[in-house]
Amino acid sequence: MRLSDWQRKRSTIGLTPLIDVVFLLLIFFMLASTFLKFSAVRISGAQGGGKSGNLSEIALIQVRGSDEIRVNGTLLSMNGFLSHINQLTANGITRAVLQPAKTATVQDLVKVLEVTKSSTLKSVVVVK
Amino acid sequence: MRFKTTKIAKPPAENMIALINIVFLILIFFLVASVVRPFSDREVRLAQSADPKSAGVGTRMAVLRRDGSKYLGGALVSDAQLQSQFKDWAAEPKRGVTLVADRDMPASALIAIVTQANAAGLADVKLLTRKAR
Repeated sequence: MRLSDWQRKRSTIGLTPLIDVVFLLLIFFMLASTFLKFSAVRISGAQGGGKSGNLSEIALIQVRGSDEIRVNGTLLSMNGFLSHINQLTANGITRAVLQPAKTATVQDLVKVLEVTKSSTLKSVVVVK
Repeated sequence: MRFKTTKIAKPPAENMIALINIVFLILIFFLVASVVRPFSDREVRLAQSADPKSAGVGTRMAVLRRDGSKYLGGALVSDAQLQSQFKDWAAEPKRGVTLVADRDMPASALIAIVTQANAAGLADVKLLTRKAR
């Protein structure tokens, strides 16, 4: 019996197609992927037709820029904003309406929304 | 006349195994360390958010560029087309919509889109941000 001879003649599997595919996968993942960490902020717009609640429970937040925020007319910076909001909620305010001015950017809106989310306010709606 | 036949020696084949090892290593690194980009618009720079907890990033996305143009799945769309897409999505309102807006875009323009989506029946509207390091 000469089995060993047959074994010796068997050709090795070609590596080239394997390398081709692996390179292809590598290039795909390099182009399609990112190392950024994403997150999302929920935005609720005002909707008509709802029951009108008690107006004394609503605060108006106007945003002009990152350092010019008015809460019920009081000018605040980003630093004093959270403590002011928490003070208001202690005095019976439960909801807020957020109105950005023309100069406010999406980044300013996100900053303010994050602060209001961490505050004790129950809900914040944005209006134009 | 008989020329002397000289055999040109074959250069030894480079060792491919080492190359494959490295390429596999890089491939696995990208697979493990990165996530697939949820949208593909290099013009849009996302707003930063510092909040460690966040709502989940959905898969239905509308891209809003700084100049006010709107894109759905990479294609430029008009206001009316966006509105009709919102109406289609509203058939399954639980999934909501995620807006991908440039950070320097006016906030009022974003709110106009949010209001549009709400009017179409999508109550769950989120804005995609990137986490600050």
